[in-house]
Amino acid sequence: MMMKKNLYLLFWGLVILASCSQDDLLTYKNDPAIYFASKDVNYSFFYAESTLLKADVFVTVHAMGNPSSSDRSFSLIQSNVSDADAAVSGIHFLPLTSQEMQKRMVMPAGQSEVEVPITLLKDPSLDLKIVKLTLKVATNENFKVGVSECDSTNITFSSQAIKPTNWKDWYYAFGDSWGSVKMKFIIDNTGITNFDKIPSDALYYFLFLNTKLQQKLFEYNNAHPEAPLAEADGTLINFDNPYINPS
Amino acid sequence: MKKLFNILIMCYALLFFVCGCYDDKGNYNYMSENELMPVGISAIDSISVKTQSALNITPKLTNDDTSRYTYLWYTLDKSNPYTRDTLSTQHDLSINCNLSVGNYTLYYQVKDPRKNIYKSVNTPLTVTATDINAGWYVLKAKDGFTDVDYFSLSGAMKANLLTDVVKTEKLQGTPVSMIYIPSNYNHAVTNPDGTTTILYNQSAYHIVANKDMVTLNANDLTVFKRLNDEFYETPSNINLQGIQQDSYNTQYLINDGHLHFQYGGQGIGKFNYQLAGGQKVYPTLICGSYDVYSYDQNSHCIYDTKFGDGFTLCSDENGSTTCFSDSAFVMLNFLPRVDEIYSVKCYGVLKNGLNDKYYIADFGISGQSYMPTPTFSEIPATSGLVSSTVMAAPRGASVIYYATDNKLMMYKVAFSTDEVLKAFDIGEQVSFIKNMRGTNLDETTFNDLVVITNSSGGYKVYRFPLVGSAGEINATSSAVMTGTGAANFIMFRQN
Repeated sequence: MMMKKNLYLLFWGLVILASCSQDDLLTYKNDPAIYFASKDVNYSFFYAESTLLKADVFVTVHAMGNPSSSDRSFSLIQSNVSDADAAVSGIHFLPLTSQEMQKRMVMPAGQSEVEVPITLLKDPSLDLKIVKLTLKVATNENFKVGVSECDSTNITFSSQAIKPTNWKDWYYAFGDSWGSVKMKFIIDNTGITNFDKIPSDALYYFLFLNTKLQQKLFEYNNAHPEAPLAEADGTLINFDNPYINPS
Repeated sequence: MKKLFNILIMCYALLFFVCGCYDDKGNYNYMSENELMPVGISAIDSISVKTQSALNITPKLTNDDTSRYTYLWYTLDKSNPYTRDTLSTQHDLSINCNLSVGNYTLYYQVKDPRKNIYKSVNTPLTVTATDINAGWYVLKAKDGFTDVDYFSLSGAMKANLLTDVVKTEKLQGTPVSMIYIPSNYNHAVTNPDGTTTILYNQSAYHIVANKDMVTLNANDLTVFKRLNDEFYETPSNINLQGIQQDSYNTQYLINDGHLHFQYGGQGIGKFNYQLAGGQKVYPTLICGSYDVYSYDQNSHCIYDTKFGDGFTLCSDENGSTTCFSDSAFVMLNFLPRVDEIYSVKCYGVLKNGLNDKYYIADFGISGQSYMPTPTFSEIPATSGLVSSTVMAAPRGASVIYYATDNKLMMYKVAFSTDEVLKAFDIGEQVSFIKNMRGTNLDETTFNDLVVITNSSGGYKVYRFPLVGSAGEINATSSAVMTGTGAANFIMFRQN
């Protein structure tokens, strides 16, 4: 009985003593890694000047860990080489292994984020197809792969019209329907070629754009009563944008 | 256990039955509002006052009892509705207004402290940095430009506002029209750091000449916008013809037969692109409380154009549309008569291209673009109405006022007869006629036919009170406002 009592005392004594021990501080172990901090990109030479033979699109690379006092190179590779719609290095984009691209894949000293220009080349084959470049971050001597969900990003491009990824954000300007003829009409009449950024004062500016496009379409169809503006499949162009709840 | 549970449920139910038998001794003898607090407060008209000047209001009360009630005057800032500022606890308001320039709501509260109940009224209060506010604004051409002469309610004149007070660039072209927007005008200001601040709920004037326009801050007469800032995209051909606003402060500008609009209280105070369609809009719109109607000079049809939703053809209950060109009519003048909540009434002075005869179309339009078939009456060829370009219709009588040279005439639609109302001095040419209503400085109301004449000596403005309901006027009064230049439009701002 006495033995049992002593064991209890010993047990509780150990518990109390254990609670007095000092924990080691949890400190950040610097382990640099990178991931993509930008969305997928759709680009079309369709929206650019016809004389333009190459164009830069940007991907944002974010570095985890403490900023460094010196520049640090990182590595991006193409991960979809074997896909049927894969962009071809040197034909559709500046090779990632080229000296020029290697210079761009550098995290500057003191920074933890950098925008990397990816140079797309306007090859004639882009008149007939849409290609995709899937970029993936790769481990090198300076960085590991960071967030696995953000370790790759897609750049889809062509010389054909491509539906902007944020088309629904322009609803009150252009309506719901989308097509390459409609897209060209919008560009010709508004001068807008970059659809990535939504302007401030968007709603009332959009209503202005919509009113203008409605009038320009009216004028076009009035001038071409036998052939109103339509997509290649015969779908008539419209800019209808009945009010919808933005949510 | 189950038995115990059932007993508990029964006890609980029994409690409800017992409560139902309770004799409620509550007081349900309701009193009317007037029995409880018999005082009545008349509505107070909207007020405009220059900051740091006297603000005096004597409220009109019925069954007042100063021994029983307490009084409170306070404001809420419209741009910041939670900012309350007590002005006075006296029966009448008599203060030096030290509120900042801006738009407020003024509340007058009469309270019975013994019962802790009150009644109150409120009215818009505009505090300005300028004493140019309520009164008459005359648009005139002078030296090839457009300017504005101002006459206060007391008759004090400030000539050439744009040149001498605002000191902005001269307004190009001849006068067209102007409107006062009491609130709900927005304006975007670019800050030195490149960011934009939107000023909401501003008071403004649009002043329009045929080649130019300017928008002023009505509270301090600074320039909000000049022509190139007025539109999201300035039209390539500027031929401004008219400007009006509806009861929602949506503003409609007509340029070269095209209708541009901007929503009141929304956006950044810029006019939209022309409303889509092939219409050539007549320079005068008819603004009902809920709908705005335009006449298309191409199709000779009437359209509902409210809020810039597009051109919607007005039609009767069978869906049939009256387009005047169907009967070879061409509209010479489109005259609003009555603008009511649900319906408007109009006259159209028409010429029949087939027989060269002239007619008056009498028609109304109500909500949902409902327009019954007009009634037509022929105008005698001898009537000066057919050749007059200056005309107007009053709100309450079936007549059309018009001008031939120096004479003010009245055409009685029901009788097809003309009457000379006033012969001005030789050399005075009538340039503007309008039936206008409002309240004078002494708080008497007026219902006048306002007429502008021009001569080599300048312009004169006459106010002839309407007498009775048949459109007759008291034409004995002499000119109440005069100035230099040639005037052709006048606007009255009540507050």
